[in-house]
Amino acid sequence: MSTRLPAALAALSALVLVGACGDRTLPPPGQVRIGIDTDALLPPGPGQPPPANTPLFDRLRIELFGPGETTPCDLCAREFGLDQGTVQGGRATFGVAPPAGHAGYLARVRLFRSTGATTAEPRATSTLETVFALPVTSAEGIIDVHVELMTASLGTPTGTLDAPADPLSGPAKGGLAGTFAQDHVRGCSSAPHDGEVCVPGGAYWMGDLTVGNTYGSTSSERLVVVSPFFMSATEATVGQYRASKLPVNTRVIVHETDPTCTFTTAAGAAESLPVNCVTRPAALAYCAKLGGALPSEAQWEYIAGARRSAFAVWGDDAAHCTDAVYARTNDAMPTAQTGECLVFGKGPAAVGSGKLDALALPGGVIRDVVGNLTEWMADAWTLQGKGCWNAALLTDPLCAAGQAGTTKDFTVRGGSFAQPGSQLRAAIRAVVSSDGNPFSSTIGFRCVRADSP
Amino acid sequence: MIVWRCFAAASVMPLILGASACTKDLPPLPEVVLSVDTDLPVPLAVSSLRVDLYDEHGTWFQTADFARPDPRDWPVSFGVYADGSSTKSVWVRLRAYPTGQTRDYRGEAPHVWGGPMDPTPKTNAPRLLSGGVDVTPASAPWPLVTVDRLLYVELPSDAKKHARVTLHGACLGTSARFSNDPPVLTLGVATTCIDTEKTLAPVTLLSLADTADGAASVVATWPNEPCDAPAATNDADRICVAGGATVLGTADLLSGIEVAALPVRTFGLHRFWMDRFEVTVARYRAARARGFAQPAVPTPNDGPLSTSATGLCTWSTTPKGREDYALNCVPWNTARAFCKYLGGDLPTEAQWEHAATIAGRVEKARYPWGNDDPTCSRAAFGRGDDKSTHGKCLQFPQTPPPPKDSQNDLTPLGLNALGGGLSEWVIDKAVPYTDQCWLEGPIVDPRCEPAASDKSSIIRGANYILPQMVASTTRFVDDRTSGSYPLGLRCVYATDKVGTQ
Repeated sequence: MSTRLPAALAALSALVLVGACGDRTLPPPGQVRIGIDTDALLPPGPGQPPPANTPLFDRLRIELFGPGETTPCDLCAREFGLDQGTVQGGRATFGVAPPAGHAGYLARVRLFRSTGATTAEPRATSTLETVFALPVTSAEGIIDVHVELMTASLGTPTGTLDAPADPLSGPAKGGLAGTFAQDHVRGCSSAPHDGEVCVPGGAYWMGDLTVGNTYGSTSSERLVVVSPFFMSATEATVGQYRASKLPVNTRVIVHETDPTCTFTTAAGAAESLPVNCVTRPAALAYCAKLGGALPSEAQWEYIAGARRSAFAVWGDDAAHCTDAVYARTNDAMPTAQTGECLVFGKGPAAVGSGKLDALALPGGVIRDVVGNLTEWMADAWTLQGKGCWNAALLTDPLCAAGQAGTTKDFTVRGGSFAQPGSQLRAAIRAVVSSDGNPFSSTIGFRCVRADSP
Repeated sequence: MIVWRCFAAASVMPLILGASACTKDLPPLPEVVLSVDTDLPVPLAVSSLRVDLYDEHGTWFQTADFARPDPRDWPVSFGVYADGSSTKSVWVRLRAYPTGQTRDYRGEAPHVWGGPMDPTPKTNAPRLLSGGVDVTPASAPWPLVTVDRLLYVELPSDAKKHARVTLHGACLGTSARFSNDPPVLTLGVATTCIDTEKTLAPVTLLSLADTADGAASVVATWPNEPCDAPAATNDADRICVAGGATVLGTADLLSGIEVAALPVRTFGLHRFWMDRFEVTVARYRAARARGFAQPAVPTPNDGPLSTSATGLCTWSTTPKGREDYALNCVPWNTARAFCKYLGGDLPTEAQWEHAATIAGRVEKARYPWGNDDPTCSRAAFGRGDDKSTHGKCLQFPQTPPPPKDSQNDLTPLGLNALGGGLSEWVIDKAVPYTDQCWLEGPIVDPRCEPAASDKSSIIRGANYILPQMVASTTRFVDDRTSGSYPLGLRCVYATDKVGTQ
């Protein structure tokens, strides 16, 4: 391990290490030691067990700016992986050495999420940022300062290059580490009803920039806090819908009228199939009768991304035919992708058929999340960045009909038996025109219920 | 028990983990200080290092994942020592991979070339237990983008020892093997890739040195073929693209809507030269004059450019004042024959995507010019209008664009019109990256050469008539016999020696 500074670097760079392992020979030049503290949960450090909840940020980028400069000086940008243990121990420190006696040097510190897009540049939507003025140094001696990066300030940088903030004096203690309470797993405070599973609350990144600008909606990235709630373990089945004794008529199209619909007028072999050809009002009525509601997009995506913004409920692997119910018809779109899994059957399958299309939670397993049927959502269709999506940090967002920015159209989420495996992605959003009380053989629903003590 | 010693980057500027991190709890000697380097580019292909420790009986007992996204952090150093118990040896599994490119750990058997991409999980796969609690990491590096290396280290009883290990790009995708059933590490049975593509060698005792190897990092030296005089070469019409690692594919859904662009893979590329411009009518005419025998004639348009059925082709039997326009309406066979006549070939997808998104950069960009949103003055695109999507640049004529419309459509190396202008033929056949051809192909210069019976090939890049710009990772398909008007070509060469042209 080399411990000596090359002369060229020491001469022109404002960045100097405080003293690496074993570096005892160089006298410390006048410098500022900057400590980082943050309440955000970070990846575990060496030897630390994986946390129960999801780390939200993982990278730290540090840049130094000379007086009046708007781009970092030469060799004055560095990027690090930052872990929980380092912050907790007060060891997330780095030294910088601006010329002694000179004011006007700035540091920008950004804690960000390195994944979630095809490029790893810090994105404003997932970066905690502070820009601050470095104290004036003497020829020798260390000045300790620290910054606190708070998750609640997401989207609102502290200080700018034009108006830098002042750093806090003294070294970082690391006492904030992991204290962003909304990211903590919070269980339900009441008991589930039959067929329900408690979904513990937490925080996750909603949206996936790699989905691209598709299906009429721009994909985005938002930090979303979700309160605990109950979700039905499966999509509502034909048998469950029959047992509810809700009217059928025009609200649910029956199999005898349209053979692609699963609901039969008399109980038969289809009782365990998810009920499709259901209008949204019928789904709403069903959930209301159970004391619940349709899921919000935020609740649904939380589950579909396995509470950690994964591609799909099973993780980031590509789908295989036995993992979930998809690509089981090519009537509408006769391609190899849409018919890939026809050998396993055609149309929707009994709930729970997809081996990996399931999220195991302490209270039970939620099934048929990304496949089998697409599901009606509680939200009115709203483009990302509009209406209730227009903030960096959202708590239990729901774009209810009539709110500013919403449209009169309906939102659905999730893939179905009719879609190719590549579209079983938790973050894909889709819209259904509300004209004419729509229904579809590919759309069903499930219910959620608030956790009320 | 064995524990981590202070983990510090061996580079000269480990800003984090300052003095205090290392001086506080100095563990007792003796120890082995491992210095881990890679010849892959950081952070493009490698930005994390996963380290798993197994005891001498092959039982997994510790794991750490280190984000090292800055090339100055390599080689990465850490110490391993026994804390006084009877442990004498330790297995160290090193995996270098790009952060975020992970899969859920379900006990998958190691990746085998030619085998399934997602092998069936083993029920008795190794688990990591700590004090009786299962703390197995939920995810593991995705094998095809990972360099996986197993070491067997004998811990010294009385001295500090050093070893340096380089994780070679050639070993990408060649997973280390444990014993078969149960999957544990056994000396003489376990194998690992050292530096040869798709080749496993038995793990032997790691040789240790008394002093550290202070050599500079070899980051981004695989395959090591720089351009000798980039400035001079790049003034020419052939631009030198240095050899190196490239990342092919994307999770971007739209890029794979016609042909799947997943899984993302890391490959090596040898140095190549690429035409600065799309092949023009004049270049094609000159080749004809020198005797190029074309397999099929580009569709001629002996009138002016127009939106009529015959007016969209730029080629004309005699010059019509558009000699500097890019040649379109040329089928794949003719395009390839043209490039071969010039001593080159059509680009592979990997070469094309590398030139458009990576060459001259440290990270992969979305478009040839970077990540800025496309504009009508940047590139020639968006001039068509279909029923569902309105073109973004409808103020321009809906005929093939003059070269000046693409003058800002530039990569850092100066390659022109990879974004818009015309879409371009590449060699590869139109199969998803999950196809066996991609999974079994070489790690350096990958290609899926089409058979004569294959009807379609991939085309790359947006074109003037496409309503929207697309990311340069997008894979489109066209019939190889199609000489369609939004489609042209450029060639690549193994040399800068301009031959017959």
